[in-house]
Amino acid sequence: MGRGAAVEAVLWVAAAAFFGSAWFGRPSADGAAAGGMPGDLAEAAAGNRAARAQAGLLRVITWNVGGSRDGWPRPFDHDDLDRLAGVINHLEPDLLLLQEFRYGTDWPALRDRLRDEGPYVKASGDIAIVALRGELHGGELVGNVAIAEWRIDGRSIAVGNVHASAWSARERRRLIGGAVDRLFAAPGTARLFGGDLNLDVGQRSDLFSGDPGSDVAIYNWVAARLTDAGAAAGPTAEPDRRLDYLFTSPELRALHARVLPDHRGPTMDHDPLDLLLAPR
Amino acid sequence: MIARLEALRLLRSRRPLVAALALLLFLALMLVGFWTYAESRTRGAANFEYTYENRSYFNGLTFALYAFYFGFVLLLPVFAAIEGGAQIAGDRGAGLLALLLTRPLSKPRLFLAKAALAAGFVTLLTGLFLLVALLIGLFAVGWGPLRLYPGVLQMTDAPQFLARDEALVRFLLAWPAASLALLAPLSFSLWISTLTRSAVNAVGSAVALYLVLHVIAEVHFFERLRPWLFTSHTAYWRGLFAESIDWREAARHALSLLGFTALFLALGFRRFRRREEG
Repeated sequence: MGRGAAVEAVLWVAAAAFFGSAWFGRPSADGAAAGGMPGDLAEAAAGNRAARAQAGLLRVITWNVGGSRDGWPRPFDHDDLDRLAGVINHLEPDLLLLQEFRYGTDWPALRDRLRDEGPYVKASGDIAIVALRGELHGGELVGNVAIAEWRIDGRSIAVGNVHASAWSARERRRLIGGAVDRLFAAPGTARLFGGDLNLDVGQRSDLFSGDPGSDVAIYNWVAARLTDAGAAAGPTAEPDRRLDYLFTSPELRALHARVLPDHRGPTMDHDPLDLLLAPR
Repeated sequence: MIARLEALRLLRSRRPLVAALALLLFLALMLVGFWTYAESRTRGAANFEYTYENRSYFNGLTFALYAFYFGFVLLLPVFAAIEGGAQIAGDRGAGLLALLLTRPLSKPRLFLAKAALAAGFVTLLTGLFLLVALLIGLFAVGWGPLRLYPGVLQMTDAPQFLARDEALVRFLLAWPAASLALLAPLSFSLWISTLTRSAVNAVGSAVALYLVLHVIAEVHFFERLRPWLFTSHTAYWRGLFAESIDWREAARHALSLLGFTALFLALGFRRFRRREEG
């Protein structure tokens, strides 16, 4: 073999070796699902509510349970009622933030299917805060903004749930900014803010916003005050949009956040965002 | 000997001077743009209620990073493509390649010397660009902690904070990482250069193809194609500015880029060594 052929062979082998190493180093689906969660915490998260309570952990889920038909949004469909109740009964969250959910028509039907007795609910517009453990007090309920005090395990946590406009960046900005202002004025030693913010700040897909700069600005305004606990959890809506968020104050340490892709009903268009918290 | 000759020819070609001047002009324009943007966005106008922007957010490190990012995406690959494209096709077009090969000089040695020299030039150019951007940031704006927020540049997915000294270390790391990323467009253009007789054609084709691949890698519509394009990996150095660096991910992108570099070099060398010059 001549020197030229040898050099060429070395280059081909190097290319194959580099590509091979990169291929084997790619993140596996299993690894992504596990999310690096320590074993004991994974066990606590998977375990029932009583086990989590004993470990001093809280599980919070935000979920837009509405859907769309022919491109137009529509509220929660009762065809998915059993599925929604089944998921809640199975996951046993301590707190639920629901969007596109009507208190008058949806809540009585859902309540009858839940195992829990006497959950606390604060609802407004098309959203609801449901405490399946602990108690909800006070409340500022205006349009698609709900703020309430969640008293649990001797702690007082100010909770905010919003469903921001899907169409207007300006309305989104006003609603989210105003809600966070009110959340910080509400009683509580810790803050939890979430819901369907309809912000896709990663912009890896086409935005339905006429003003992406405004969306980025309001996201960053919130993120400068609270920690985006689900930042690494992945998209919650098609095609790869992260529209649903859970933000926490430093008193609430986020242990693990994940999107649950296999839980939505046929009429829904969002996946639930599941967060495991350890209050400090 | 051949390396010294090629280095001398590179200096006499004035390509380094043109590249340095273009990058300086770019930095000056960036500074003006940065300054006017910061001024217009930090006067407390009513429509900036609920935004994060304030004077402390903008500093010399933010300027350096954004200038480097734009320069990396828009300018440095073009200079890399020019360097690669000019190597073989330029010599062939001028009749110099045939002349060189009449000397006791093997084709592998000539090809590897040209590739190594071009890679060294691109590495130096990248380092110089980064250094000047940092110095302009220091003297014109002043350094401070580096705060990054999600936005249209996709520098980060979540708000990041790096203290000044830590941020400077990250800039130091970004130099070899970005230089490595530029080896792929460089070797790509070197391969194109072996296919043509004209340096203009080689550079034009390499730049046009780079831009096409870059656009395809950025558009969501082509998501399935992304892993197969070197342009999907080139901006991986942005991950070095995360509070917690994902080294595994950085290594994966770096290895992919090295794979593309070796692949293009292999293709280019195969063509170069089999082609009759005359």
